[in-house]
Amino acid sequence: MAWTVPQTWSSQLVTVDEFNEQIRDNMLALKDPPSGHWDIDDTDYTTTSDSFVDVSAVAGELEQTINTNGGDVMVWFFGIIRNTSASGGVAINVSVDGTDHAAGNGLLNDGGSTITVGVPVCFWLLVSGLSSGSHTFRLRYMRTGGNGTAELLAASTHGQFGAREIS
Amino acid sequence: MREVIVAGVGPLNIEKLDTDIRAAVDTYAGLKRGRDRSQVTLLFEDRASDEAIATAQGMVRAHDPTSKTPEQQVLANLRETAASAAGVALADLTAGQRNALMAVLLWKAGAIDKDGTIRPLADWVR
Repeated sequence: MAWTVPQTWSSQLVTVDEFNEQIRDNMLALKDPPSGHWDIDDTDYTTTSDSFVDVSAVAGELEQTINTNGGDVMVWFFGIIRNTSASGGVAINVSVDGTDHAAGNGLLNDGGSTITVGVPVCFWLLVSGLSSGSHTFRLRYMRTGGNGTAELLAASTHGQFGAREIS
Repeated sequence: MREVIVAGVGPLNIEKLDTDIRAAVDTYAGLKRGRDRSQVTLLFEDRASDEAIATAQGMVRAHDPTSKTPEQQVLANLRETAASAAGVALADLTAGQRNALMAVLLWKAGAIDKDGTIRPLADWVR
């Protein structure tokens, strides 16, 4: 259900259509905001790139496209990451409509402490001020330290990446 | 960045393959692999030539997944020696086993370089 900007009421008679649009439809829109998520529960993802790349090369996988009404979107991720080299790390980022949200080492960089077993990571990212319309969010990663292989360990764990409009 | 998918690949030693292609193709920027294990995506700088891409693709086809990088070989040697200590009482460990066990811990801490030497402390002691 689409969101309709609430009307400022003055002295007027409210019609059934206006009431349904302003009250019922907006309540339904608030109950079911634009949202999507991807459950990570299969093979591990790996990269040796030293700059951010999409975690998945498959369209629709670890990416979410939602049609927003304009405003803020909350993006979340949790999962297990590691670098196979003791002298390498893993950095995580999110792209919004094809542009990385954070510069440098992105949103998170383990800095080389994930060797062997991997570490659980989780973030909530508030992307504010988006225009109304279609927006695509992709999970991205890279190795840091120039060594090893960055991995998102999906086999036998059940991470998630998603996005939901919250305002 | 240019992405080139190579389909129909078998098992890969990702680190070894990456090391080999980096040494041969200067416009190569890494690789990535996802749910479909029958393919790998090669990453190149935008200026990469068709010849360079073909070279990298050929290296994927010719890749031997049992070959190891120097760092992987160092770790394999350490593990082999350290594995002999499993089940041995602390008091009965040989000097070689103690060294190997310590080396494994040092490797996990990022202290050992690709050639098996100890890295400068500033690189791994934070």
